[in-house]
Amino acid sequence: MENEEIKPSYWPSVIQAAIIVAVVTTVVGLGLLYYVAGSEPSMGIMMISGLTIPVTCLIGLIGGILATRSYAKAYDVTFPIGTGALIGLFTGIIAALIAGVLGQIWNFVDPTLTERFAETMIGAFEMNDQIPDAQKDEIIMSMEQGFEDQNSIGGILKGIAINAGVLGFVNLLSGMIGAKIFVSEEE
Amino acid sequence: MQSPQRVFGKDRTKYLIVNQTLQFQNRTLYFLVFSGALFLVGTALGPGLFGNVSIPFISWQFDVFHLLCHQDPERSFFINGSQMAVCSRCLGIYSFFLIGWTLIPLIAKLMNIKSRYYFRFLIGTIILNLIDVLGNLFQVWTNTNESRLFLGALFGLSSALILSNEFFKKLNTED
Repeated sequence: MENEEIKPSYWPSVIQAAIIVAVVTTVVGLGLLYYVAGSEPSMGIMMISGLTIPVTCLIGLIGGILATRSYAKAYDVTFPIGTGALIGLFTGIIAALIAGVLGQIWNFVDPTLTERFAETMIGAFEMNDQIPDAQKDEIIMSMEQGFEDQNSIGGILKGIAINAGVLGFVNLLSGMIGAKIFVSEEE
Repeated sequence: MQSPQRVFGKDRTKYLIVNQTLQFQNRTLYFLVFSGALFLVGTALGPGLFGNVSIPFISWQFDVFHLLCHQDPERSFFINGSQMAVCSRCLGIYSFFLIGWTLIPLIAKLMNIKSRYYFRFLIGTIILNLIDVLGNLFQVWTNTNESRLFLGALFGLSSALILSNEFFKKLNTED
């Protein structure tokens, strides 16, 4: 026990990286919501189901890299790849929680945003003449139900849980890569 | 995992047996990542995998990736007439990460590649993807779903390979 090295806590690095990921993904997500909500319903909008800015791809997984880099550089420590994975996992989970809270805060700022977004999306889907009417009605009903569920407490918690799981996992991967790159002990 | 090699001297009398043992470490993490990557690839294929219609923002598969991918239909493949839950580049990244992850024991067994080469490969694929994105953005060229899939695949593969030495290490023991 005497020789055991006490390493500094990685939580400041985790929280710092999680805030960056949460803010970036929330801003990008809100940008999309406003873009769609402010448009006229059309098949074009239906086709733009995500932001068309290609650089938005994979922003969510930089957390693990940021956190491991910050931890390694700030304290000049070495740590195994498992710790990198853990740092990434926590970063992703916390980022999802912060993004969830930011999303709910924005709901107070602009309570009708989700409603306008849903109306545009449903209106756009109604214009789709490639789907038989019966099937279209069924899908529209499930869309209405889906948007309603997303605004319920259960839906919000489910959304945060899904984001925590996915962001946790992809940041676990990037945390391992970060540990490998910034804290390489071999060779 | 052992592959003994018999090496004879010039006089055909002396020989050396080299056991190249593959040491498998961080096993739990390896299988955890494998399971997660398998789930991600299955989800990335979207509702069409189960014969369902893709409804962006409603289908759970889209929900899973909405923070990670722009999910633009014009940049995505379709399966059974339904849009996949990720764009073609992301599909390449996830699917080839899984392929690479599955193959790293074999690669570690057959080849002796140092981490710095994997690191260069990773950086190279990131630069290639950035060049492709910027070239397309500034209309220097127009990339396609296939080219995006290919470049994404290189990135996914390199991301898996850079970690290979952390899970599988070749140990040479002389008898």
